[in-house]
Amino acid sequence: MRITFPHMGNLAVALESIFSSLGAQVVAPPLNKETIALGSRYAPEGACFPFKLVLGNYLQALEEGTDTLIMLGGNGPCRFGYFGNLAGVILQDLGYEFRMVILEGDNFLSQIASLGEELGAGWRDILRVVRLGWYKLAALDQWEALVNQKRAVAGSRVDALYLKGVTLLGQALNINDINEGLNYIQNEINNCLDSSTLKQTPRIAIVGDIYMQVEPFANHNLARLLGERGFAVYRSIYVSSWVKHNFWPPAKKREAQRLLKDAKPYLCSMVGGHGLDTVANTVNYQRQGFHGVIQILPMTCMPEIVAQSLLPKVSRDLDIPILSLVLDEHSAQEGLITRIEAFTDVVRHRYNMSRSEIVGSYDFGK
Amino acid sequence: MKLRIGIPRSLAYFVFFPFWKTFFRSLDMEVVISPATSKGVLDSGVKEAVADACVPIKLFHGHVLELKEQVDYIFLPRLVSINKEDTVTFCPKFLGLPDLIRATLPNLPPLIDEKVDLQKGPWEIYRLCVRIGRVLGKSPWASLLACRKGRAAQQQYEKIIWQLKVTPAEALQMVEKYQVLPPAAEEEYQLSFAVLGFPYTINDRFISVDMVKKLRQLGVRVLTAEMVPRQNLLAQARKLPKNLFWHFSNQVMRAAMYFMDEKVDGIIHVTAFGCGPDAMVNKMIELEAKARGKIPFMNITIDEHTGEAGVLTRLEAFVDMLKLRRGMI
Repeated sequence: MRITFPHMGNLAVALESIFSSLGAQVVAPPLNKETIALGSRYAPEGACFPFKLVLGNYLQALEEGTDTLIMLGGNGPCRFGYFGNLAGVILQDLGYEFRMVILEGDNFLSQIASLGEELGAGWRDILRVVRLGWYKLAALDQWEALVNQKRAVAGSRVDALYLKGVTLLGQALNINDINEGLNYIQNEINNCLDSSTLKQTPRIAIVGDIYMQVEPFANHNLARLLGERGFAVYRSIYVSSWVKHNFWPPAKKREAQRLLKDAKPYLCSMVGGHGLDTVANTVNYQRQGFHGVIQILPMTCMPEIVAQSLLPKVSRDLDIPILSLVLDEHSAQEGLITRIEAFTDVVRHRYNMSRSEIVGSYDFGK
Repeated sequence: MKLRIGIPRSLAYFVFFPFWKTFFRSLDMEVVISPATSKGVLDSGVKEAVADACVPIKLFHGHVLELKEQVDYIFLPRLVSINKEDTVTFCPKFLGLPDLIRATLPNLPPLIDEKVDLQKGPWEIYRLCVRIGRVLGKSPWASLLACRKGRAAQQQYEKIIWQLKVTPAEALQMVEKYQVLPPAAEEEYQLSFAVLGFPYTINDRFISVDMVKKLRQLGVRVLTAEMVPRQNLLAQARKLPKNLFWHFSNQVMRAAMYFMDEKVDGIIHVTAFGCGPDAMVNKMIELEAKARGKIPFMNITIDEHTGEAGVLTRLEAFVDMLKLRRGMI
């Protein structure tokens, strides 16, 4: 079985580890310009950027001879839950032969079991490799969070350490290896700086659609762009945190209640996708004293448009700069950088003003 | 003096207006509808709404602004579900509509934004009416009676659409004026088209550039999703691998499959620019029509800049092509 799955940030590393340990051949071409070209050629014009990337990635994999496509389902009302079905009919129409496995909540386990059976793996093997994949994903996300926060003061050294960590994970065969690697890399990153400098860095939070947040190719590596300009970057969602909040019903309920409480009175209902999360987390970051928030969304994303139209009011009421970045296949990096720099200038100016009141000196710019 | 309840003439208006009009009138309220869409209404909406929203949502902002000065309450329920099908809800913009309007348009009269979630069971509609009645200071008993009257009016309205095969806009006109318009002579029509799309785009004569009337003038019988009896649509639903999550898109998709079975001459899908569900549904109808072979299909996307002449040219070209194929010219 030659298997493929759409790229989505660190998830690809975990899935590749899971399927290859089960004995499947993994075909996972990386996202590049060709993905965008293929995706926007065959996807409906008005579909969102993530769908175009998913479709383009499938087309690349099919060209490389894959026969099984894996996709997650869902219950909307975000379009994500229909990605698999629509990609399936489009690819069929193009004349490809393949099998589409859409993992839906109600028959998730049976689908996994039948996939395992085909690969000759029992439940014990599946549990073992899924656990290993999960630890890898969690480790990567922890590093990424750390790197995003410290890049501003430690410079590109942390990126090199992160890449070193990815290589370590590739060699890890059991959970002990992962934990050792985790401790090692975390210590190294922390050694790059002394903690006193971190306190003086202005903090920017990224909120918005999950795919645009976790896939650096889709967001032009926004976290790095901000880090290079001297900001500690925090992200509202990582794939592992999403899994933690969604696969265990009581946790899911708790998280939903927290979001509804935080988003009040701006948004009083779930709107699908991460629309409610965006509003709630923005309010939350303001309470934690963040200096700016960037919302990132693909063009025509329905839940995020609801959030986008509420954020100006949040910004006015709570006095926090917010930038909404709408990206799609046509976004050029230079234009994006100009907008980010205009925003970060505002954030830095406000940050310096607030500090000048405390320390008595005021330095304009950096 | 009677309390004035404002209902924007947009979005769900075309689906449920008879129910709510009868309900509020039975509760001794005055119902004020915003004027029919015009350039001014659209422009004021476009100015206020977030740039990335679809044109129906922008238009809705305009309709709410029209009502702002005239009414004591604006009726703007949060639509979550209106039937028993699970996993079917509305587009996120509908779910967040009251919050969206409140954040964008300041100084509005109070909104009646009760949640309409009929999936909860057959009694939910009565509970909803009692909640709304309470907001307006009416007794539960009065609200229940008003609800019953509203349901009767709604049934009558839907029956008019099915039996006379008129569009919801025309049916609303009949209900308003208490008169039945004479049906057009059948022999005038040489072709029949399914014109599919959201009720709030097709029935809004301004935003759809009066497409229905233009098609009829070209000798085309216009069929819409509302003219298909509900059980026939549900029968089509079983042929789809997975329900769509959006009520109106489900209606469009199922009606498209129904009309393909009925062998209509052509299908026109009217989509709104920037509409999320439409992007998916349009492709699915296109591929379905292609797979069945020789079902002419056209997509017309409308937005706030849609020009009348451009749409007319496309409609004429589509009709001419079909007449040529059928040997009518």
